Amino acid sequence: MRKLIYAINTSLDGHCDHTNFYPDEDIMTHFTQLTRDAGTFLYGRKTYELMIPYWPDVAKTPPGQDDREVDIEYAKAFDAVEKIVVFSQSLDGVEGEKTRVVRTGLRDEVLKLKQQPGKNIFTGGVNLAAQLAALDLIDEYHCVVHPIVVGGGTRLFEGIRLQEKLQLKLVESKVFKSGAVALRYLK
Amino acid sequence: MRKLIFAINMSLDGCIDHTKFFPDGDTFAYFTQLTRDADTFLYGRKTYQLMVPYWPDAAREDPADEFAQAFDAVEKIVVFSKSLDSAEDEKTTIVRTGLEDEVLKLKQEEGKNIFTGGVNLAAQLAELGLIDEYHLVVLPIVVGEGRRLFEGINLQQKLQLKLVESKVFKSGAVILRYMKK
Repeated sequence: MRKLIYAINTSLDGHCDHTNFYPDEDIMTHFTQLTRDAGTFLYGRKTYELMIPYWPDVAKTPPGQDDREVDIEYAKAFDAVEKIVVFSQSLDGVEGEKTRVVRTGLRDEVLKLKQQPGKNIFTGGVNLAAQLAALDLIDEYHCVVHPIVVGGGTRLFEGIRLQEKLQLKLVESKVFKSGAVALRYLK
Repeated sequence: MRKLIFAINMSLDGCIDHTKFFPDGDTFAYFTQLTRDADTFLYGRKTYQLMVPYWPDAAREDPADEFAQAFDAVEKIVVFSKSLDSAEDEKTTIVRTGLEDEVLKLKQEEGKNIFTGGVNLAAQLAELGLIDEYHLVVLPIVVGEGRRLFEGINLQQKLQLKLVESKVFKSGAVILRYMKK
């Protein structure tokens, strides 16, 4: 059964708003690697709209002088992911060759995806991730903790409703030059 | 000038409620060392009432409890509170107002580190840029409720810190130590 991987950038005080962080080359490379290991993205509406069409556009546009190589590499890895499943009640009109919108039945859908052969399923964001964690469907948690206190915004796992605390197993910690720390946990 | 050290246990989702998890032996040992390196505690009312008289009592009852002994050996406790009426003992002072001045004065005094914890007071101290070192012990657990680190903090601008150390314990707890920039 393939794995569902969750990865997110967060501040020291647990805020996940992507505008808080400057994704330096180490961070981009980290996420590029995770993305290359994935065959399917699983997104909520907000993360979907944040990533698309932004990254596919970067992948299609010829690189300019100011473009960082790491961003282009990430865009290519992103664009190469074969399938995107978006969980949303409200999102319309994104059905495409590789994108499918699912309205209900999160648990069944994810279990079905996991049974399919292929590379990892990769997810991010806050709301959907909180639901996936509450359903105990996430196999690996990758948190990149940035050396900054933000003091406002959406928190990691905000709104999560757990029957009981989720005990994880730390399997790796990696320090980047910027002082960001990547923590990897298994369920 | 001596340093103000902030240390706290938190879950991966930033919950700092001490009733939600139990620190392992390594984490206790880490806090014992931080406490030995301090001679002044700076507390808000809630943290003060959480720690005192619990730990001084534990120190009297069990001479082998190293954290309790280290706690009890700290010479001075300064509590910032508008509502706390009286302190438990003579090494404790209650201060009502003028947090910044009081902390700057404490920092000028000779001695070991000043050690603080908790949420509300720590948020105020961080806002004022008074914390020199942040020690976060991130436990491998998602709690999903309870008070969060620096809840209610009101920052003029984001606080950029410098990671100086990270250490992994057997339990999977990770110590992250930061200095202010």
